[in-house]
Amino acid sequence: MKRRFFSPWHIIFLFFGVVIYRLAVLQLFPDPRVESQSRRQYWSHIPVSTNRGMIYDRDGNAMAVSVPASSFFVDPAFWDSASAHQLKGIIPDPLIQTLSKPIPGRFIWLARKADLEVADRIRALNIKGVFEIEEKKRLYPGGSLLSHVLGFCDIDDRGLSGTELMWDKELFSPPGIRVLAKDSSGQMLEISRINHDYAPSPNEGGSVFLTIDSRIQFVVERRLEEAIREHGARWGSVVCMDPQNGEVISMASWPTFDPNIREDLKKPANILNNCIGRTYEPGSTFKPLILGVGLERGMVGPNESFNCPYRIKVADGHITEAGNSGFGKLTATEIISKSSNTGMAQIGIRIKPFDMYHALREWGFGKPSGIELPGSEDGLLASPEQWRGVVPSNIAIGQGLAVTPLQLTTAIAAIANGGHLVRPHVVSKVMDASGNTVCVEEKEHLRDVLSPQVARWLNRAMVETVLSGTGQGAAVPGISIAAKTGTAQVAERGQYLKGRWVSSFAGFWPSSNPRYVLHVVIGEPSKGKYYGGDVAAPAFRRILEDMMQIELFAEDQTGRMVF
Amino acid sequence: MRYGLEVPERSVSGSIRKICPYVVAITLCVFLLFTGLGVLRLYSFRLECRLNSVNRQIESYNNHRVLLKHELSTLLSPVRLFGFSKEELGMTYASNVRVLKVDGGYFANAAGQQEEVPLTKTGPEEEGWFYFFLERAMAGE
Repeated sequence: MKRRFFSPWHIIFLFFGVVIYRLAVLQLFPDPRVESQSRRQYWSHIPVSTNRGMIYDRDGNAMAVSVPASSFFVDPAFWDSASAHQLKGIIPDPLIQTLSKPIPGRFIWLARKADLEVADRIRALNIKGVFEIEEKKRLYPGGSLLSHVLGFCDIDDRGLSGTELMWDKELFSPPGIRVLAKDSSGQMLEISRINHDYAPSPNEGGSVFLTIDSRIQFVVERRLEEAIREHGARWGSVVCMDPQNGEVISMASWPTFDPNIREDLKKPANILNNCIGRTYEPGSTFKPLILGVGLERGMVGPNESFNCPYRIKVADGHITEAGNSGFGKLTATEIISKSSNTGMAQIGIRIKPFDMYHALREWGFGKPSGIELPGSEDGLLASPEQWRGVVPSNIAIGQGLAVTPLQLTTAIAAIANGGHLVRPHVVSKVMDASGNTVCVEEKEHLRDVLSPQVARWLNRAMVETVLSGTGQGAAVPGISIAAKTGTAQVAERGQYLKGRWVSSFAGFWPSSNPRYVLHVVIGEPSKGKYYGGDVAAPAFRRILEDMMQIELFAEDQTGRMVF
Repeated sequence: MRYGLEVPERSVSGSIRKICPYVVAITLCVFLLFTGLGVLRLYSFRLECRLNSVNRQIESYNNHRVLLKHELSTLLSPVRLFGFSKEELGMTYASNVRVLKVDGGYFANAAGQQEEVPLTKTGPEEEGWFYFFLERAMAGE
C-alpha cells in the first residue's frame, strides 16, 4: 500500500503556513518606516512641563514657585478656519486673522500659559482642532519683592537673570514627554504607554535657599522707594549684610520690576540690579578705608592733627571742602566725622600710589565681589601708573574710582568685624532634584585688611560721625551706630556734571558688636537736597527703626522672641 | 483495479481522519492562544488606564500641593501682611517701646534656682544693652 505524498490539503496548509509566517514577520518585525508611520498615527507625543525648583528665603518662605497652567494649540489638520471668530476677545486679533486662513503645518500656539479665566473660556468653546497642554507657570508670590535677586525666567522656564539664571542648572527640570493614544479625530485618549525614546526627567527641579530675610527686604524696599520719591532720585540701592559671615540679608534696587508681569521685563533700567551691576564714585563713604590704609602703614597717626582749609592746591588741581568754609585744625577722627576733603587729600598724598592701589585691591575693589549673582561689575580702579597729579588725593576723597554698592558694603563690613574681609553671599544652600545638597555657602574669610586696633579706631571715628558729625540724621536713641556719609559728583565722559550727585550712607550697628551693615545709595536726587547726611542718612535711620520693630516682635523658628 | 483504486481513497480519508483531530486541536490551541493574547492585551489596556488614572491623580495632588504652597507664600508675603495689617486692621508701628535686655547670667541657672542679682543700671552699649528705647512714634506713617 503506497501512500500518496502530495494531497490538496498540503497545498492549503502550505498556503496558510506562508500567510501565518508573513503575518508573524510583519507583526513582529515590521519595516521601520511602517512602524514610525503607525506611531505617528496612533500615538501622540505630548510635552509635559515639570516643576521648576523653588527658591526660598532664609525662613523657608517660597519666593519663586511653578504652578500648573494651561496652554492651547491648534492642529491645522483638524482645524476649521470658520471657527476662528469664536475666539474673538479671548486671543489677540492678529492671531485670529492668521487662524481664519488656511494654515500650513501641524502646530500653532493659541494661548501659552493662559490665565485661569482665559483657559476656562477656550475650554468651554470646545472647538475642534484646539488641543490643551498642561504646563507650569513661574510665579513670584511677593511680586516685585526681591525681584533683582530672584531674577526671572523665559516662557520655557529657563532662567534669564538673577538667581534663576545663576542656579538654572539645579532649578530647571527638562520637560517630560507623555505618549497618549489618538483617535481618528485626533482627540487624545487616556491610554498612555511607556516611552523608550525619551529619558525620564525628574518631576521637580532642585531648591535654592537664600540668605535674604524677606521681612527686612520688604522694609528696605519700602523705605528705599520712599526716599527715591521724596528726593526725586533716578536710581537707588540698599544692601544689608551680616558683617560676621558675609550673608546678604537684603538687597534692594530701584527702579524695580515685577517678574510676574512680562511687560516689565522689557525695560533694561528696571532689570538692572544697582547693588552689583552699577558702579558709582563712592565719595566720602570711602574715606574710612583710605584712613585705615594710612593708619596701617603708619602714614597717619591716630592722634595727629591736620590743618583743613577750604581749598588746597594739589599738583595740577584743587581739592575743596563740600561746605562754604574750611574746618581749621582737625584730628584724624574729626576728618572722618566732619568729612573733610582737604584733610583727606593730605592723607592721600602721604600714601604711595602703589601702596594705596594694592591696599584697595586687597579690599576687593576693581575685582569681582564673588557673590553668586550674574551681572556683577568689578568696578573701576585705574592702575597706579595713571595716578598722576591730583588723582591720589581725589581717590582719598572717594572720587576718580568706581565701585559697586556691594563692594563698598563688604569693605565697611571689614571695619565692623575687626578687619576681616569676608566674601558676600546671597545663597545659603542649594539642593538638587533628588534632595542632595550640592552647595552649602558658609563664611569665607578672604583676608585680613585691617588690624583689630585700626578697625576699632575707625569704628569709634564712625560712631563720632553719627553722634556729632555729618551723619546725625541717622541717629536713633539707644542704639550706637557707626557710619559715614557720602556725597559724590557724577562723572560722564571724563567730566563732573553740575547738579548731579550720588548721596550715600554706609554704617553698622550696634557698634560694640555689629550685627548689621547697611549701605544706602540714592542716585541723582533732584529736589534740592543732595548731601548724604540729608538724603541717605534719614533713609538709613528709617530702615534701622523698622528693622528693630521687626526684631522686637518677631519670633524665631522655635517660637522664642529673637530680640 | 477498482478495488485497487478504492484502497488509496480509503487511505487518504483515513490519513485525513488521523490528521484532522491534530489540526483541529492545533487550530483550537492557536485560537485560544490568540484569544488569550487578546484578553491579556485588553487586560493590559485596563491596567494602563488604571495606572494612568492613578498617575493623573498623583499629578493632580502634586499640582494642588504646589498651588497651596503658592497660596501660603502669597498669604505670608510681607507686602500683603503689611497692607492687610495697616489697612484692614488699622495697625500702626509700636511707639514708645521699651525693652529690657538682661544678660544670660541674670537668669535662673539650669537647676531652676534663681540668683538674687541686683539689677543695676549699666551703659547702653559696652556693658550689654540695658534698655532699648524707640522713641519715635511712627504712627501714621
